[in-house]
Amino acid sequence: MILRTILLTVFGVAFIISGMTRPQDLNVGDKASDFSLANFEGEMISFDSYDDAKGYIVIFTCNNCPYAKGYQQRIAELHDKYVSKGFPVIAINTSDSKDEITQRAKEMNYPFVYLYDETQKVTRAYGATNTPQVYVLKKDRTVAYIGAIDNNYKDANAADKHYVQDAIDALLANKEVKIFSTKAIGCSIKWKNI
Amino acid sequence: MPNFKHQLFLFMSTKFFTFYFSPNNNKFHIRFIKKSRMISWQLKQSAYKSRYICVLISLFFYVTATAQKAELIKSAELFHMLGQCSAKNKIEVYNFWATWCAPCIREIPQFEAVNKLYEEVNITLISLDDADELNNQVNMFITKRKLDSKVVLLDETDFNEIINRVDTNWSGAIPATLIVDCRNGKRTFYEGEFKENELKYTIEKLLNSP
Repeated sequence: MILRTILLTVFGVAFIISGMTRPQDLNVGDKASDFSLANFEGEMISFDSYDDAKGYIVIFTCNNCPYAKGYQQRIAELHDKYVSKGFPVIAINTSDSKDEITQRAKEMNYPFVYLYDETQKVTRAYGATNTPQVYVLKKDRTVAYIGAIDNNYKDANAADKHYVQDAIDALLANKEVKIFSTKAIGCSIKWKNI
Repeated sequence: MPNFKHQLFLFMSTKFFTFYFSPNNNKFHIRFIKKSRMISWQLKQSAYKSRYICVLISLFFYVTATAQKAELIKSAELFHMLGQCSAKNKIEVYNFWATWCAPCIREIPQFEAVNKLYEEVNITLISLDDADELNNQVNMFITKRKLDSKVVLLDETDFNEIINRVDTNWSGAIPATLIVDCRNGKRTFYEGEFKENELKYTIEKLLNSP
């Protein structure tokens, strides 16, 4: 009986601790670390690959999550709208295989880079929790915004708060980003056991 | 050695049988046919009757099996629900899940087991599926898995404020579970999948605590 109680307590405490230490490392105002990840053509991409960037839209996403799927078109539109203004989209796939990523990028004719984070080191370093999750970075790589693209996962036209666009527009106009953090339902990132 | 009586009995019985069952049209034969038809008709009737009863029974089971259908709720109803206890001695467990979420589906048997095992525990599975998928996905899933726990579908598209109101520690990833101990009002929030028996340990720990 005593043994059982001790075991239960140990399990309980271990569980609570495991629940508390969720990766939530990068916050707004922090400087994001650089990375070097391969796109599907094998080319290594890092922040230095963009010479004239004024900032970056880093998006953690995956192929099959319904929320990520619902946003894939909007991610392409974000890139098309802001790449010429100096904010390219850098999409990082958190959990699919290289073949799956290549296939999706070709199928959808993605205008943005779609990177393969094999070891999930970058995803962990940023503390991404669910997909799709956006980090808007300034030129010096300080985080200006973390969260959702807009406030309607289902219907882009019904969204009336365009968080990412508003954040970038504010940065481009040298204004303060008013809403710098939002939350959205998303698929929890499948962590690999490495 | 067979005696005369025996001989006679044999003779008579063969005679009787050939008479009674002979294909010739005698009245006994007709009566036999009629009777057999009647028996088969009666059999058929009783077969229909039993089939009818079977259909009724299966219909009853079908109705009771699909009686549980997820109710659509809005965020106002969600927070009303989260703020209430069905009884003071209860532990209310709210699990946020979706049919497309593999880890959520994996842990659902744990919620079902806890629901059956502890009378003090109330489980509510809050589906975050698209409301358009209520029948195709959610109710289908309830029927297929024969879920006993209460299921509701949160019909919302903007979760930014909802997530923080459920718990400020919630990133928005599912599965996520909120446990409210009605005896002391204590709320515990878990993000991520419960590994095997983890939910049971958590509940037992709560029940054993004063």
